Amino acid sequence: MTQQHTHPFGNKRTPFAFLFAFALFVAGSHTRALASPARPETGLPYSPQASIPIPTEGSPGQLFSSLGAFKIGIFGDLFATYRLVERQDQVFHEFELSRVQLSGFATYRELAGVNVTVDTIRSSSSRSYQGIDGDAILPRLKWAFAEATPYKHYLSIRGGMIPDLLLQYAEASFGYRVQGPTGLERDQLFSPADLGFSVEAALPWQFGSAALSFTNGEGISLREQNNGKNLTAALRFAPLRNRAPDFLIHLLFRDGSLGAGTTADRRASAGITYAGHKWGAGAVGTWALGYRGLGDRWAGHLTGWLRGEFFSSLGIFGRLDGLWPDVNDKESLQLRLIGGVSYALPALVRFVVSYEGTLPFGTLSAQIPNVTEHAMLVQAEVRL
Amino acid sequence: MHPFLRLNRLLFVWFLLLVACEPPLDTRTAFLVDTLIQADRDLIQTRPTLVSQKYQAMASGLQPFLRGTAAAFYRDLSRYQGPSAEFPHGPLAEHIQLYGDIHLENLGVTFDARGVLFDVVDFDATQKGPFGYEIRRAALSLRAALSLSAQPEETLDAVVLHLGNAYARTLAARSDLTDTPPLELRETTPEAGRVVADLLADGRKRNDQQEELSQYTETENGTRKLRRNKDLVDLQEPFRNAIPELLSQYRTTRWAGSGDDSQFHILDAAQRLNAGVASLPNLRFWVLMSGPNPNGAGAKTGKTGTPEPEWIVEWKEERDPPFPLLWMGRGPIGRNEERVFAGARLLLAGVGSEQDLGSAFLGNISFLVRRVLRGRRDLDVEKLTERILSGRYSTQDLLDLGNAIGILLANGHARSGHSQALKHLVWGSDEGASFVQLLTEKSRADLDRLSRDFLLFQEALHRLGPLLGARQDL
Repeated sequence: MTQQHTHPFGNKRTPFAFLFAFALFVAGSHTRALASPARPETGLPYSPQASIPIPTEGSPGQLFSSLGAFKIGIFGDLFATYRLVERQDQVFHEFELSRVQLSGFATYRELAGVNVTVDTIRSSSSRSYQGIDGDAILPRLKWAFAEATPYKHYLSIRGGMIPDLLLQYAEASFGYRVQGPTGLERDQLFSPADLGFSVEAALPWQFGSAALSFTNGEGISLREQNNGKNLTAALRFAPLRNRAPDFLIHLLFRDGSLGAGTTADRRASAGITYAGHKWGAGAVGTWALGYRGLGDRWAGHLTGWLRGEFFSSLGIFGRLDGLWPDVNDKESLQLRLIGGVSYALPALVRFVVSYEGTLPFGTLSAQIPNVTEHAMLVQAEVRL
Repeated sequence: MHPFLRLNRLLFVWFLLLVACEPPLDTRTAFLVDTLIQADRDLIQTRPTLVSQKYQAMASGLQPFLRGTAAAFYRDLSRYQGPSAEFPHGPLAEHIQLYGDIHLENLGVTFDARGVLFDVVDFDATQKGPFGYEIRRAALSLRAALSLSAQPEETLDAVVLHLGNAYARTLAARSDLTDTPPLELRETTPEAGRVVADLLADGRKRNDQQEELSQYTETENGTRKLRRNKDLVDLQEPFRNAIPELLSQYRTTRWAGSGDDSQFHILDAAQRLNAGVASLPNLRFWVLMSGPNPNGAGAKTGKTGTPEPEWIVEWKEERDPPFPLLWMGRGPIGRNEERVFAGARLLLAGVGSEQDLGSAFLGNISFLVRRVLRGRRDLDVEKLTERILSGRYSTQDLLDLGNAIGILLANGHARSGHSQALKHLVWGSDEGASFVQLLTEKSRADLDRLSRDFLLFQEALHRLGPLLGARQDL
């Protein structure tokens, strides 16, 4: 653990250093990292920004094929985890299959496509003691959507269980989903998917895109509970256009609600992400107007991350998630520190060792149950 | 209607939905509604009538409302919920076995070889967690119950003070590493106080008379059967056919052993309704059995002067406890019948009490099994209020009640946790003074919140309907 991680806000030069480093990564990326002509989810034409570095046709181990006018593809991952954790007086260690995810897509003449993605969950989740066959690991639909791109990459329309407009960019930029969900997801600010539809239009001169989604708002695990619908507007700017299409500035606002009581659940986010092949970095700040079922609660969240790869197989990464669960009480902060190293085999497997610490400050340190947690993870990430 | 007009009307309704024609609930009501519906979502689909009865019961008074809102209480106490969630906690005190839902009507009479004693009589919510949850809930429950008899604030503060002091003192005594046995609250124990002593005497009397048989059974053609009424109805399939399987599982898990076949001859079975508040929609199966009582407790003499040979056993559905499970440790573990059975065995105050306890699991439903005993009286808040208002109980009796509850909880926590660590947090450097002060302040704030929530809930039920607007068309 570096000094910077221990006292992330103790040095005022830190944000400038971070931005400087960020600019270096971008400037150093003369070639377009993993340039993908197609949306990674459906293979349909993509607006020129943001080729999210998840598997493409050119990546090893991908199953892509053509069948007349149709293209089909399959990709997925598996996270095998050993976790040693100290939490609320208990030291516990376990082997776990953190995730198995499998995506399949089919497209027709770059006009229409469909994606079905299945991942795994523990059947009892966090709400119930009792799952299926005890607490068995079960597959569930994560995404299932149809997509049409009637004007090439200029317009994309999705309907079904559609991905969130921000989360996937943060995940791709962080690049170590194996370690756990991003801070935005773990701190319950965004859900990976929701039922509804979205429209995304490319901005002129390859400056990015604007997207609008209209969804239930209950996320991935619940049916709709109320008549309120989530309306999300997102703007993505690619200020360096083709020179660095994966360097994006994000602005997002969500007017939403959840639960039978139609509790306010709004979000305003701004951030930058860079998702290169060897480097990735980003920071996203989010203002939650309505948080964890408390409609009148305003919460703040700031997450920042950095990853890099050396000698084509060694990697390092770090992430910092700061959550202010009540912005009226600025001293109360939950800080999550993540740092780790990885070693990738030539194909298929990457080994990851990481530390994760969750620390409370202010009144959070007096709350029950205790927030403090320290965990060490040893993981094998398999990408199919 | 012309299809075009119909379409227009549909579009108009859709437009109204889009512009949010439904007036929004205030944020606190929304929180309550969401919390209640989340806990009962599956039951709202499968047993909507019972869930609506539960909500009706909760709207009938502050005490039933308190009983039905443990989940909201613990959510309020959970992390990120603001200053209300602050309370002493620390190493080795985060994971002790809690009773789970301490309120006066979950306290009452149990029996062991030495007779009757004061104890917790419902362990549905038992779970490992921070002790602060329990003591805060106990203080609120005591304060809420006594507020119904219009006690002045000073008296309510003093009662909570006695509860906190007794808790701290007992923990300090239990942590001195001597072999002093925990204080059991029996009829003749001075610390029991008058309220508890009266309750114990009542329980003993009813138990001696095997009142459950005269109350719940009748004899027909020389054979005893369960008396059918609005509270006891015929058992429906598939559960009627499952009784032998449930009995077999019960005997396998029964604390006192599986006993002899002759003790478990089934005479009748019925479904029990309208019992409890939080657990009102839960399944309850009663089975009347003949044969010598498998253990002596509760079978002293019948009307003829000899023990009646019949006895009643209850299979009660156990659902998830009301705690925010995600934050309770390392997440879901085991099944609910195992959780309740193990927790009850650990926490029961009397040596050898509730020997008929057992468990069963059928079709994904957990059951705790125990004998039906009319002598297992609980501290009925309505009756207590009447007696306070009639002058039967004095302020001193109420202080003694707080004292007794404090002793009971501390003994349970010391039995299942690390008493030294608890003492360190509670006793501190001022012999518990600041802990008790904090507990009193919190109980005041908690009761204010509960009273406000009660009014909001009544209004929400009136406005949203018997199921609080929950979807039923799943």
